Amino acid sequence: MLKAAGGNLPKNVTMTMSMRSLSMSSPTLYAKPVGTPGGKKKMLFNPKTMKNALPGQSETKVKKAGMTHLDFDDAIRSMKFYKNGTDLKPLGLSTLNPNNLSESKSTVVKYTSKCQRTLGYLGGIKKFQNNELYRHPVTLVTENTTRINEEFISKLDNSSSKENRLALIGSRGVGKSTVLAQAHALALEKFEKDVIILHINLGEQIVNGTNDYVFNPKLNKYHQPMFTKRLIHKLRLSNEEIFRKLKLSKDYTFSNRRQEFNLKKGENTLYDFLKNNKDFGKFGPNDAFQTFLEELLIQSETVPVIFSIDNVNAILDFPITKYRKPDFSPIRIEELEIGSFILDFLSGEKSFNKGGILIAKTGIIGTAEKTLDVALGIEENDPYAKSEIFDYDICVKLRENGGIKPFKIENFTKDETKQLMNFWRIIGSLPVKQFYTKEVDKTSEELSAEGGNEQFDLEIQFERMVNNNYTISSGNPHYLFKTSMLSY
Amino acid sequence: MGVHVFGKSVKHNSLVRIGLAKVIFGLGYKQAEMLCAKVGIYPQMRMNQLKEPQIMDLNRELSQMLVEGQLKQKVNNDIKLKRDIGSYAGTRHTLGLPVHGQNTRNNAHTAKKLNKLERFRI
Repeated sequence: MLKAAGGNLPKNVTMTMSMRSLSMSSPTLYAKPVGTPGGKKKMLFNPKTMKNALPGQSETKVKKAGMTHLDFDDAIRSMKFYKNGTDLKPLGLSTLNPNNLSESKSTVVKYTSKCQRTLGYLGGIKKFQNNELYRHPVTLVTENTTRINEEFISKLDNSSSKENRLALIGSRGVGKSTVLAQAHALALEKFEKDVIILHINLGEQIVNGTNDYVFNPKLNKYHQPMFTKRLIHKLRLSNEEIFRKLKLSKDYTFSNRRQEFNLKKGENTLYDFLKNNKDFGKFGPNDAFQTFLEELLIQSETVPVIFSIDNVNAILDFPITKYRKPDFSPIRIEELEIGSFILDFLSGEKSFNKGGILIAKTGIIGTAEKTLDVALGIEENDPYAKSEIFDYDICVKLRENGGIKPFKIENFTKDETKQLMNFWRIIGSLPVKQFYTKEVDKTSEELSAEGGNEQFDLEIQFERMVNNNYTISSGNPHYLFKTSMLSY
Repeated sequence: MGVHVFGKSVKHNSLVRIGLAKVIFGLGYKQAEMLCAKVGIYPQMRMNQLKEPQIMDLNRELSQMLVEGQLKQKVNNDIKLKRDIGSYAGTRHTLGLPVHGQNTRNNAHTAKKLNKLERFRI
């Protein structure tokens, strides 16, 4: 018999051995059972045993990579989200065509398959345009489309590029890149693909230091072989049909992989030249790009050439590039071969006999910089402006030969907004339903409607949504999409 | 995975100008940018994109600069010179105490750690 340990038990109760075994506080419970080896068991790290220890894990676990390393915007494109988008075939959308623009005004149209492929190669369909909603990209014919057709596309075959220079301007998300893509599509449709489109879809890629560069002492310019090679590849794919038709105006001789190529005048085509000449991507001085430009200038007598740049203010507002010379002084845009080519054509110093220049700003980059705005005459020149904000040389160059004409992209009208929202509603992207309100928040109209057992009308609700979203976004497509589709 | 430049392993997916500055003793970010400009490496180039001639160019340029072992040797020699001429700074180095007049009542841990006759073991 033992006395109660710690005095927790009443005095008249004594603890037997059997009771001790029931106790939760007794130290005897911590004693090891007789016959077990003493000491602490050493725990060693063994991945196999550790894996086995976890329930539901097999020994041979296959390591899998994540779905993607990209951001959402890039991932939806690389993972082809558009394949899950709405099929628009049942809607029977008409195609974008300059001949039926007046009929298809304020309606959603699609691009023809050839046109869509060309725009895809050119990078005209951008990731932030939310085309993943549909199986194929669509576009809304607006007042801007009609204007660009009248002011730019109609002049392509009867004026030189020097006389046909437009700069698309407007606030962020207003649809400058979309109008640029529409212009390409309209030109392709109008000339039945007998038009050359030289398009640089991201201007910042020229100046942001992401491409290699090498000095050409003959031209006194810096080549960007990687960029030029990609650009030529893109242009070759997108303009394949027309390049195959154009016969060379001179004989050209070059070698590629120890093979000599002798391209004959009037026999071989421009496509042969671009396909076989690998000098564009050669890390060393060469004149392949200059030859291509000379050939284009000659060919532009018969075929119109559109030279377009998107995000152009990334080049013109930041003329000091990220590249450096061996003495660590920065390289200016004029000193790059591509940059010099851009400035020559934008200023009208060089000109395609038939064609036009179309440039578009971006609202994301360079909101404080003034060079392009002053060159276009939107803002007045400030003589005390800092060199980081305003570059005098570029501005003077852009104003040469009459300057570039600004083309202001307008916001959607209310009718256009309604048409677009209706399209979203038809394809099932925009839900139109009754939004219930709390009893305390209900207006007198709502209460009276309830009292009178008024039926919920979808059309009235849709009209209300159109009014609401048009007021919030003021017709800006980016903000319209944001308010109506991305917020709930 | 690393790319070997000047006898040092540089992380393969780092930018050249960043990777070099991080790994090579005596080469800062600015100097690394200048080195890249001299050799003709574009600003956004990564270590794994370097080709053999470019690595050789980097090695050649780095061998002409006062970095790594040579720089460490120079620092050691400078400290030794101060001690040899019997200057106050030399004495403080020998004692492992702050050189530039800092208080020694508390702390002075950096000096105790660094201030020796042979700061770098080569």
